[in-house]
Amino acid sequence: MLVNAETPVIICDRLARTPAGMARLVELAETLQCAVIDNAGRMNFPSRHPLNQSFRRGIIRQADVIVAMEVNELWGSLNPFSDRIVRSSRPSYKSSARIVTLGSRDLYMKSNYQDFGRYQEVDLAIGGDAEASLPTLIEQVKRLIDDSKKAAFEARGKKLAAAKLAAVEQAKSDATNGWDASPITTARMCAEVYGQIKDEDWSLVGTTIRLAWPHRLWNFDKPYQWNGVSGGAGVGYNLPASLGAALANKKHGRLTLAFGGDGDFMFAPGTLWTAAHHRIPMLYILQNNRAYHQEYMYLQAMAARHGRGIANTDIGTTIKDPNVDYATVARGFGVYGEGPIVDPKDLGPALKRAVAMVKTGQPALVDVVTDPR
Amino acid sequence: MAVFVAVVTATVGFNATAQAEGAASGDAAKGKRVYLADGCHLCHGRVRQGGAMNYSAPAITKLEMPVESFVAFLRVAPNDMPAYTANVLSDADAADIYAFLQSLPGRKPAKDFPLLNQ
Repeated sequence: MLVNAETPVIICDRLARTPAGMARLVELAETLQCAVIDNAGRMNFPSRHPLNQSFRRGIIRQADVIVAMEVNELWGSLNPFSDRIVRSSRPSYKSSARIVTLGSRDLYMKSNYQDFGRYQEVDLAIGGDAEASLPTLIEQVKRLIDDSKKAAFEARGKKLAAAKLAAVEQAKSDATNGWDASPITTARMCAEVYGQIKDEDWSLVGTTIRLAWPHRLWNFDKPYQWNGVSGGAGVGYNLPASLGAALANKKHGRLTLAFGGDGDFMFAPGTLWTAAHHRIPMLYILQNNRAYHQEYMYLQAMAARHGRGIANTDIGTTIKDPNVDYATVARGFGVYGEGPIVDPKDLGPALKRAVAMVKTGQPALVDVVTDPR
Repeated sequence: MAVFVAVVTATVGFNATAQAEGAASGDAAKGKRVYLADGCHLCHGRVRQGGAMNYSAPAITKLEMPVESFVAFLRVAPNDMPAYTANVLSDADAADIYAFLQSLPGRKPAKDFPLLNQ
């Protein structure tokens, strides 16, 4: 199916579980010259690879074969839905598309609807470890590709590469919106951070909800440069999980960094003491939008839906009055703290000082007051 | 759960030629206050650079629709965006928001930003 497809698309999520996973997926994609959409549950595919179409999901509509590898929630990847009083969804794929799953989820099914979300109808479900299966799949694909296919594959790859370049330029253009604004835009924050770490042996091990700018703007090309996400979207996960990854990175001498939300931080701030006590180097960039913002937006949507205005939606959802001074909190735990950074011009120098501290083997926190998302 | 499900980069727009005359009738300064007070920025950003809830909330840096279409859009609002009925947002306030949005500059050439070219 893959070799004979005109527009095959690979969707991956928690595929790469060893350093070999990314290289194998790259080999398969390059052999087929096909699009890869990375849901970023792991470091599956280089962010700037010409076949990386993660920010061009419209390509799913063109696919005649979709292969989903270790995708946590395939229905959600293929069926955008509207969270309104009457929920509606629409498939983002052609009805004629053949859908194949390859992954280990089928091997540990339980009777828990939360575990699986909605079921996606598929044409072929292959239960097994995707990373371990890739060498055999690559071998079979190579065996079936004859000369008559190579020209078409090459043309397909060139089209995808051109589209990728356009998507990168679009990302840069989008990032200029509100460049000098205060509170600082998340795009500016991520660009400033990358400016400070790009020449280091860096490893990003945590992020905030829907913060896509690193994957849109940064060059991820090493298996350890991205740690994936919890998979459960639980608030309070990010700070302690990031510290665990930082501990794993310590012996490799990598510059570990993580973004984290202020709401997430409020759940387990004592993690910072653990970082200081055990001398675990980590740059923690606090995306401080002074709210449990996902919840704040839901309440606003709900209030607007019922036509009652949003005057009360900040109750229980915002973290202000008083504002938390997270840099001082960090210092209280024995961790180097910078901030709150409100003016974008101050962010680069603050990050530079914090990176220098981390490179001495210490944790550091930079409190960046940002626009919500 | 994916870190990002989709990034919609398009500006809200219908027709580039339909720049609204209605913008002149709105009050941009008042529109900014309403934009913030009514929480538009919670999803679309204070400088309307876009954001995300369940999916991306598009940047609205350049509204390419007449004010009447903009108001009608708010009344029904697609996807996850809640509809803003006249009970919570008057036509006049919506026109002020429109004027505010029209008063702002759009994107700038990315080549002028070294941090975006690294």
